[in-house]
Amino acid sequence: MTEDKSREEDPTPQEHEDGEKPRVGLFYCGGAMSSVGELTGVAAFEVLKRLGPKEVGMGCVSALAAGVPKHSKTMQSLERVVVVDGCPNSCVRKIVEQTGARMDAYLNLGKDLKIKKIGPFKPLAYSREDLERAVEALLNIAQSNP
Amino acid sequence: MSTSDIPENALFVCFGGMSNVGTLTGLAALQAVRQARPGQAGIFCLGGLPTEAPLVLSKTRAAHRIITVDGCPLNCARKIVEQAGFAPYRTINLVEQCGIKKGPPQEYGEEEMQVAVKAIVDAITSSE
Repeated sequence: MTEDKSREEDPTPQEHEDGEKPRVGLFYCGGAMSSVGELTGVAAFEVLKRLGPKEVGMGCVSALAAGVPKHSKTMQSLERVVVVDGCPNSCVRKIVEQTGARMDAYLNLGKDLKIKKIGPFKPLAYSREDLERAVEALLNIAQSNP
Repeated sequence: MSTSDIPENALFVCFGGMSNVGTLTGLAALQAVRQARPGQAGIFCLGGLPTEAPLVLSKTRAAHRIITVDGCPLNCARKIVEQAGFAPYRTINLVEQCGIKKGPPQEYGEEEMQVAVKAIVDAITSSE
């Protein structure tokens, strides 16, 4: 039996180079002070489930905000980067702009889909219908050509 | 909103999607908050700190304690909270403190989930 030395030496790999890169990167808010923030994350993972990891990969917005350089690099290497915010604060869009990161398409669940922001501290107060609308919109954006 | 409506423990979680442990922070925090008593803990908006969203900042100031929950050793949630001028009362890291192995997105089981939930619930209740 051959031991995987590379895994032993680095049990917590921080690079994501061992797998094939997805075509589209999804950067979602995931903030849970309101329903629409949480909905960005739930909808993004539903899109991942439907399209598969070769087509779509999730991003770490927190890593961008914390200034982790390799995450910006990873973003640059993708064919398409989609950014999704839940509420008018548009935090992910601001973080992407502040850090000079890349954004090919943008969706705001409140502004673009008129999904109601419910809160504070009610992350799961969105409806099944809102989830479907968010997923459909993200699928369309992710699959459209640049 | 009065300050009494603000959860005692403000959770700032990574909820990044590039690895299993990042995603686990977001999902485990939802379960942990459900296990807490009403008003004891709430998940805040990590993205609202670097962008200085006024309501996020004012509610964070009004919370009694801040708990950060990171998945991987990059500790982005803790860094963002500290860069915004706040001092976490507890910091949790699922790899370093809970022994959960970092892997591809969504590659985790119920056992890892419950380990993460327990770590967050313990941090919430340790303040009592």
